[in-house]
Amino acid sequence: MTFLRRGIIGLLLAYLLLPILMTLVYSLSSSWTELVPKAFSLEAWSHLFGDPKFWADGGRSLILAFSAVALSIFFLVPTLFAITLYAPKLSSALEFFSLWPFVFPGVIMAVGLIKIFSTPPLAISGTPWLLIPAVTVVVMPYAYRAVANAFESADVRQLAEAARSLGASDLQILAWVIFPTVLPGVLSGGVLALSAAFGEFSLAQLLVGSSWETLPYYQYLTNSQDGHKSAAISVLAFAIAWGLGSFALGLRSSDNLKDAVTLA
Amino acid sequence: MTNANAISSVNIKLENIKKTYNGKAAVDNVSLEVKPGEMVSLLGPSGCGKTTTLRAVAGFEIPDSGRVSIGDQDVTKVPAEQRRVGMVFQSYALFPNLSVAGNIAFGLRVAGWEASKLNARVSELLEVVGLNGFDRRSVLTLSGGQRQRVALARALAPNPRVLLLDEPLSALDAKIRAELRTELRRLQLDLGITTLLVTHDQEEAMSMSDRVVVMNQGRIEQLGTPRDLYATPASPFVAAFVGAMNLMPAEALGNSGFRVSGQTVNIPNLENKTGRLGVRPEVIDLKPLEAGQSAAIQGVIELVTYLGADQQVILKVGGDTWVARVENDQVFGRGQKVSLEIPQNAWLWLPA
Ligand SMILES: Nc1ncnc2c1ncn2[C@@H]1O[C@H](COP(=O)(O)OP(=O)(O)OP(=O)(O)O)[C@@H](O)[C@H]1O
Ligand SMILES: [Mg+2]
Repeated sequence: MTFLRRGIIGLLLAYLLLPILMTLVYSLSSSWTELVPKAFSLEAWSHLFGDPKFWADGGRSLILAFSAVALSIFFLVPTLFAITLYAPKLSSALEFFSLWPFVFPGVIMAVGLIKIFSTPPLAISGTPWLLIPAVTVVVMPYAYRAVANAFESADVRQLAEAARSLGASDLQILAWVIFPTVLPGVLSGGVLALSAAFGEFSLAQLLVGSSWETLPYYQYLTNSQDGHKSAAISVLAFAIAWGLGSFALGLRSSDNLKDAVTLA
Repeated sequence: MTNANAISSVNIKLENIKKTYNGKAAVDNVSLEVKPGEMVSLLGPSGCGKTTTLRAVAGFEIPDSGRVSIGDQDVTKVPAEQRRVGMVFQSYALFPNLSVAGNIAFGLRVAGWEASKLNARVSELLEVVGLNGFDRRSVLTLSGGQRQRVALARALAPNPRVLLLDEPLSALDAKIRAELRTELRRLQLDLGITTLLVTHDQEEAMSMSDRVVVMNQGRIEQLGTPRDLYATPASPFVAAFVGAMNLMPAEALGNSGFRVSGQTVNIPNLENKTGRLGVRPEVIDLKPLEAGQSAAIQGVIELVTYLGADQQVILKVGGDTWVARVENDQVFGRGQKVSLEIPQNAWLWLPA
């Protein structure tokens, strides 16, 4: 029985990790035409890290990801707060609408946005000022889940009532009680939104392309020139996602950690 | 707990409060005045409308009709944040992102107290609730009893006009509950703050309050001092909810004779009528009967439950089941025949 279980887990791990391992090996090989690579080199990696464009594009991707997620949280927390307090019946409708970005392909949205925003008065097509809001919308389903979960695990209604009986206005309750209470949960759940924003390609390509290049676009350009370098980017993207994930898990358990410290 | 600065007490007045949810009245025409400095309990079974009534005073529910006033000011439409009431919840509702001191200071921050006054007030309240030295602790590290003390300190800090407590002790274990019950009542008396307490625990209501309001299905069933409720319950519901009561159909036979549970009893000075007679279990005394002996009221023991301080005996009298609470020095057995000795003034007529 345990043998079978171990076998299944092993297979699953292999299925998940093998592609990444192979990509890593490929990024480290200089020629791989037969079953096993003939020679290894760090050339792809040193090219990558030596390219200032890589750093600039990576930086833009980070800016894009963090601002899109921050924006979506900034809009979602007050919205859910208002719904929880004043219109709990609307919460299922909100949940339904939050999934719409999944239904419409990014291309449709991109075309629409380009049409509207390429002519004055708001000619911001091709700038991050259009890309960031667009990506904010795309990551909304992930961010919504994160915020909704954080709201469910804190008794937001009761906390708001306690604060209100102490004289606090809605704005004070939101800023001093609700935001700080749900933020750790939102951040740990928001990692998915962060990686979705970080890896967003179709909008980046259509809306800004080379005029505000992000990492996925950089990889897209690299693909046709140097497969090894492209593989290195994939491995790096995975490592970043993994790092963010463990950071999020750490956030979630930091409450327990805080307990341990103050009790000591 | 020590004496904090006394509060100028005001009254709470509810007039014909009505609140309906989905066509069903949660609170049905409730009128009640809590006098300045008084502590009143709302007591009743789950769903009888206690919390809804309390929340109408706090401003979290707006009644469909009726008037709420605090200190003779009509607050029916005043938003909760402007009512200056202190509220304590069953689930504590402490702000998890703030320390103990941060929680207590919250209402003071909102009211814009300057730092030195604020710090002094927080220290004063830590002292009042017996949590000196806990100020920097995260509230997540506290026990239930400690959390509720913080919640109480937080509610009292900004000098609320009245204190509202919704089952404040229900989440605590028995020992802490008994301890905090006494402390809470002493503090309330020291401060002289007008207090409305919601509870479904009759012992809590009786021991903590000046007057008790027994509620049933959204209505006030009876309102009185704990003594009044116990001695003269106005209805079988109150009789059963406040303490326990044997309630038996009875018939007057004339000449102070009554027929109860198939027995004929002589009770002088009891109103000559037919209805339901009540007897508290603890006034009954049990005497063993030898074979062939008989008594005015006799029964057969069905079950004996030893309770430490005393014992509960369940008996069959005629066809009815009676309960007696007797001292624990006598040993009874199942099936034993006993005489039920009941003082003449312990019988009580109750409306059917
Ligand atoms: N927001 C609400 N929506 C619908 N029904 C409600 C709401 N609040 C209370 N009720 C109903 O009103 C009635 C009274 O509720 P309330 O909470 O006042 O009872 P309670 O006496 O405090 O009971 P408990 O001891 O269980 O807390 C219940 O039948 C309850 O289901
Ligand atoms: Mg309740």
